[in-house]
Amino acid sequence: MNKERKNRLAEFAVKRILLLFIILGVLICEKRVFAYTPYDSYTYSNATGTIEAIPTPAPYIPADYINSDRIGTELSRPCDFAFGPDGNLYVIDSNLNKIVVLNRDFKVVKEIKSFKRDSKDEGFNNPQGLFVDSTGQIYVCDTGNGRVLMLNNEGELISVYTKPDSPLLGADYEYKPVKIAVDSSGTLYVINTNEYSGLMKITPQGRFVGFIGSNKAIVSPVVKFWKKIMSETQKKQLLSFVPVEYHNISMDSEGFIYAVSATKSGENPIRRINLSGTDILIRNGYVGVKGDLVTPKTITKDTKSGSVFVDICSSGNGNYFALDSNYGRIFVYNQEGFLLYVFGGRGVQIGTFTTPSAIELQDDRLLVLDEVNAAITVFKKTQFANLISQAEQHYYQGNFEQSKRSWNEVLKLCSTYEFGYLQLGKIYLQEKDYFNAMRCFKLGNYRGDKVTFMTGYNKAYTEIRKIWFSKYLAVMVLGGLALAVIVSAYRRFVSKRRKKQGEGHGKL
Amino acid sequence: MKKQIRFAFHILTHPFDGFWDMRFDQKGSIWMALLGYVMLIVSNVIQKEVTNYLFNDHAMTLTDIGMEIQMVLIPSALFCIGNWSVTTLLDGEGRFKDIVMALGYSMYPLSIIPIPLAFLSLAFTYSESVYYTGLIAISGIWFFFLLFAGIMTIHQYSVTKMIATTVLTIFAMIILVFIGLLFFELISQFFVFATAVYQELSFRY
Repeated sequence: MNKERKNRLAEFAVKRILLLFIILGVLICEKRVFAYTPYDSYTYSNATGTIEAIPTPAPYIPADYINSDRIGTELSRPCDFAFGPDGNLYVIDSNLNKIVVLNRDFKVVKEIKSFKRDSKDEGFNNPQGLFVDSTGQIYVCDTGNGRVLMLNNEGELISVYTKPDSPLLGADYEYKPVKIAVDSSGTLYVINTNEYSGLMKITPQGRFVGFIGSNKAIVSPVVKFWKKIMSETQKKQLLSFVPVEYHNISMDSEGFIYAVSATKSGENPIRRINLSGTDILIRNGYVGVKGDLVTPKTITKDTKSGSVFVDICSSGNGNYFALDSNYGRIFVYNQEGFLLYVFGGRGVQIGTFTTPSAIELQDDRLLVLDEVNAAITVFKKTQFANLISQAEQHYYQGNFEQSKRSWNEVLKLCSTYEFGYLQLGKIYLQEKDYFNAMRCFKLGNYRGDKVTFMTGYNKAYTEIRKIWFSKYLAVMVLGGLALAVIVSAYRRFVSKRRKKQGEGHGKL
Repeated sequence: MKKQIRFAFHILTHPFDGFWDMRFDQKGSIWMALLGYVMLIVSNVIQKEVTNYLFNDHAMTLTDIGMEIQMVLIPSALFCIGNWSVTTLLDGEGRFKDIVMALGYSMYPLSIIPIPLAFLSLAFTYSESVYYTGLIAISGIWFFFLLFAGIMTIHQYSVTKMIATTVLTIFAMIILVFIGLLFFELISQFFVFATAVYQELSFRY
């Protein structure tokens, strides 16, 4: 009786356990939910000896699509937008000549179509750009009228900046401002149409200071050679070589200007300009800060020509997002100039663009403006990008343990993400764990810079060599001495032997 | 054997004298020369496998030994055939065997410096990179100097004639590559044609 009962109990237990396993199995094997994106996300790697695009998980996924129907007012050709200090979004429409102000939920707060000037109503004419400063004042590039307008947050005119009166600009100088950025002191940085000399720096009083951040014209050696042997008429037919033209600027949180020049042959399409006009951008990585790689060897992502940047924005932690209109991609670099990831593409699905024209960042939301589609695509950050930001933030704050944990999480999501290994290596180097640093730098394929020798695999290797030498130097010296003594003793022995045998040669 | 090794080092240090002895006094041996080719293959493999990660672009990739053998033997064969075809027309005194031997002996510096250097590089960092690149460059320069001296001596050429034949040799090598590719292409086309005819016939009957 007791035995039977035991057996039945055992049978019951076995059945239970089996059932549990089956349920668990079903749960585990169930397909994971994942977000499909209509574009590839990637970063560059040099692990195989040639630079290649390596896929990464999507760092940002499309979350919302805002067009005229959605906001309830018409948008025809929005070409620029900016966030105000109140979190509202200011969109400028060059076709309908108006500014639409949207709140966080993309509901219309107000529209600015006209303003009073000397008690007369005036409007915009083909406005191309706008900027909202930290007090909520709106600067509008009224391109068609050749002026920059400064409005307060209610849309009332404060001042007008027409063509500055300066001997540097000739009488027939055409002033058609397209993009603008304003620093904390109220100084205006203006991009003028077809202006190759750089950014126009204008004081709050409207006085023209000069051009800053001017580009150099780049003439290739081949062209130089042809120019030497060409006749005068041929030279005239040649296109004039002008320096590259800036296409957009944005102010970062530290008061520096990020500027992009949309040129296919440009050496440095992205710059970070300080107040005196020098480029202070830090460049790193395999490709440098120039978007897509254009080498026939590595056309893994249909890049037959390089990136053409139209806008740039930066986040509070020093990362910057550059918008490429050629392939509709967004390139994200960190403050050390390493490429974090690339995403986005051209197309008609939500998440891709036909004519991307502006990009802005609000907290973790990324907004991209499509000019012809008259729509804003809202992207939200994924776990992958979130972890990277966390890891970087912890690193710059000095919380190495937490940063390490986040990087390991990132590498769990994407084990081929070289930059993660590189940063882990840096942390291990800080912690003087040189063997792990070496391992991570190798996985991150980062040998270190050849100028200062201060980081990378090279640094870890140097430290290990130092330790090794200090440990074994005594042994090596003693061993060498011992070897020398033994050899000389042996030689003496041999020569003695030979002398004895009557040969008389001391040869070994 | 000891004599052969000593002769190889004699060539490395006194190329004009050494190659003269090789060509006209029947010193040296074809086996010692072929050892130069083998050592170069071994040297290339060791360089890719052993060299410090800091100086090694192939550290993260697998080494394909078949590929390494091809990378040495195909260019060597092209050079020997190309040089022989040019120099027989231009009164060169060297036979095909002499060219193969001269090339083989010239290849010694490409292995006797880089093989120990690969191991030594494990003690180097970027601060000592100049020694690494310098020694690799020296081995290369030594190789080209030996090859130049060797080919010049076995054919009994003057320097100007040697330079001219070198240019012609390079042309000959390019032509050889072209003819080789053409030949393989034609053969493969022929096979495609033959199989197509066979298939048509087999479908019909």
